[in-house]
Amino acid sequence: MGEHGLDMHALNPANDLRANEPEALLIRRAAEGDASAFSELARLLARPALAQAVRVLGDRALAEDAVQEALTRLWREAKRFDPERGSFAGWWRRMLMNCALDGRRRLKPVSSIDEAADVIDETPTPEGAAESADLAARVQQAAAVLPERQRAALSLFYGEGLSMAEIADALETSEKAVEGLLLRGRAALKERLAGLKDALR
Amino acid sequence: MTSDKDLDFALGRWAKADPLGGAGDEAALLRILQHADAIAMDEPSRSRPWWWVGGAVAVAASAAMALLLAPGPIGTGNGGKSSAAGVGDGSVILAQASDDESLAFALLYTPTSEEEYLL
Repeated sequence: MGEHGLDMHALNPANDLRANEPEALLIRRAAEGDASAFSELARLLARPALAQAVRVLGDRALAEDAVQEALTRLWREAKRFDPERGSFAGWWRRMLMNCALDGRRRLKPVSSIDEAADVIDETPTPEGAAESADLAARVQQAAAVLPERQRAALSLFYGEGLSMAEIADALETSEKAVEGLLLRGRAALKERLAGLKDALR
Repeated sequence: MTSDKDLDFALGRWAKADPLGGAGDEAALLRILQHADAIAMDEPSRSRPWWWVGGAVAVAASAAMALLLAPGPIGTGNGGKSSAAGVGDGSVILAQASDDESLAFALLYTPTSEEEYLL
């Protein structure tokens, strides 16, 4: 994980570029009441947000609900976005994770194991795609038993390549806690995936 | 046992794979975008100053009611002097059940035998 961790910091956006993010420009217009700017922003955010929420929650209905709630908050709190205090991506990620990990939603049943076979990968070759999708599906199935916060930390670390600090910001916790989430999540997955060694090669 | 390298590879595949792709997912995306359009059209303003005004009025009204109903020194007009509340010392007003107003009220709203028959 250490080598992986070193790469994470290279992906941090430069502070002076924050205000020029396309999303930051759109949210500024949305904050002034421009509904079309907000619609455009929603079109940019919806798909990756739904994919992320599905990974974290393991349930499509709950994920859809979380993304809708996050977009509602985004519209209502558009004026609160301040590029001086951080990137739009970080602000939105925190909002989305907050909605996805909402305690009320966690009480609902999760049916991720049934949906694990639906995981799709965009690898170009058919053989590679099939293997990759199978592998992703197995990990999704194994990850279904993990607590949502562990899944969120793993997804942000391996999927978006975020640093500990960025994940901590998204999950509104400390870097130490993120480290713990990642370690516990990896340990649990390692055990569950132990029988799949061949599939992982 | 799965090696760390294998696990990293598998987690990378899982986290980067697009879990969306079925018709149901496209329908969900459509619903999400429709929802986004609807909230942007339905709620044109986000500042909502009347929420603050309404909240302030509600708080003020609650405070006024609490002060009026309070049996302590504030509501009794004794100049802010604190005194132990007790029956007979003037800080507690008991309702009078036998005054003229109560009797008139009772007579007004007590049906006669003829009225009771009709009821």
